[in-house]
Amino acid sequence: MKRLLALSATLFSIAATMPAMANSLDNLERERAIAIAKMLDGDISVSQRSEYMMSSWRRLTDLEKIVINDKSLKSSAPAAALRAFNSYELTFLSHAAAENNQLITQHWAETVGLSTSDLLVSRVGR
Amino acid sequence: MMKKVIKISMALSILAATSLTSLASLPAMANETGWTPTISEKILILPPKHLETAIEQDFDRSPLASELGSIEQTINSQVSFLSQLQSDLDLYEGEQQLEARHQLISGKRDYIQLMGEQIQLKKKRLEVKLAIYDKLLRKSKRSAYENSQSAQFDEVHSAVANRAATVDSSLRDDLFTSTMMPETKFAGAYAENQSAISQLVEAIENHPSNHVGQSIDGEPVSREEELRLSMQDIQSELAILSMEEDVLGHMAKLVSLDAQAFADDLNDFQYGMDGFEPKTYDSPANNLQLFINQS
Repeated sequence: MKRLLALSATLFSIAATMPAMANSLDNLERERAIAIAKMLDGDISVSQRSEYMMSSWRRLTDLEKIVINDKSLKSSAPAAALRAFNSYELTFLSHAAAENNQLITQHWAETVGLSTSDLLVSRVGR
Repeated sequence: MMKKVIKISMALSILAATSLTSLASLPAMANETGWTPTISEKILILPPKHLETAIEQDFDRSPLASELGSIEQTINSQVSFLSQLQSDLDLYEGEQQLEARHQLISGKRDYIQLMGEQIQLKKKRLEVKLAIYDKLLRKSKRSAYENSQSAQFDEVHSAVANRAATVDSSLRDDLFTSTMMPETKFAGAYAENQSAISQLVEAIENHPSNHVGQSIDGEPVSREEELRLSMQDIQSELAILSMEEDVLGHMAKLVSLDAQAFADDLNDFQYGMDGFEPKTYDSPANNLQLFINQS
């Protein structure tokens, strides 16, 4: 019994010390979600948003390249990767925006169907 | 001495006459020497020529190969012995020639038996080889199915990578001019490696060995097709072995006829020497005239 407890404790400590491995796609999704949240954040100024988006742009560009070159996705998360690849415009925001010579914010808004005129006629609702 | 030769010749005639039927039972006579392949399915990645060599090398290490080699040696010495005896046959006379003919027939019978055993071993070898190729073909089919699953992923992934590559350079410039910051460590290393990969890919495309592959009428041959072609070769070798068995059957028939002729000659030698003619005795009918003419 003592041996069993000791073994369980050892396994638990090993599991606890192992880092949670997120794949490259998870990292990109996280960064993209934060960038979109900042785009839509009404509590920050325009310059703050612009400053944040510039640094996010660099990170997104790097993360997108990492995802594109990540061979492990084929075996670790093939379905999620395929879904992400097939939604190129929304997954690879930086690269897709560069294709259209647009900023990330503008490209994302257009892709999800938000134009300037749409936003102007919109009303704040509860 | 003469009695001994006659006894042997009779026994030989019976043996030779039954050699046709004993040929059919050769598989049972062949000893239990076998070939249990030790090669793994990993040889499937080898090109056809090397795959064949790997299988043959595995066979060379088997007891079956040793047995085949040993029988081959015995057959060769038997053929030399028979050729020599046949060429010297005219040098003998009388009893010596009969003895030489007896040895020749006996040697031919041994040769046919040895060839029969060798054909059975050759068949065993080809059947195992065929089983190996069959196993490899099944493995190849499984791999082809798995590959088709991953091919879809690769296709989409390749399209994404190509699309991203078209804006790679402009994106770097935009990032630098817009943010006025040096590119990240990763971006620098990525560009460097990407350039190296492009050069290497080009070198791979231009490498002569990259375009070397089996083809039929200029059309590239799939792995499964290559294996099927090898299996066809083995099956044709098996068909040839069956024909060789027919050849042996005809040889056995000839030995049987030789033995029959030998037995006849032996009888002639014993009972027909020195122009011996059996005596004929007078018949009353021959002397009939003695009794009819009354003068």
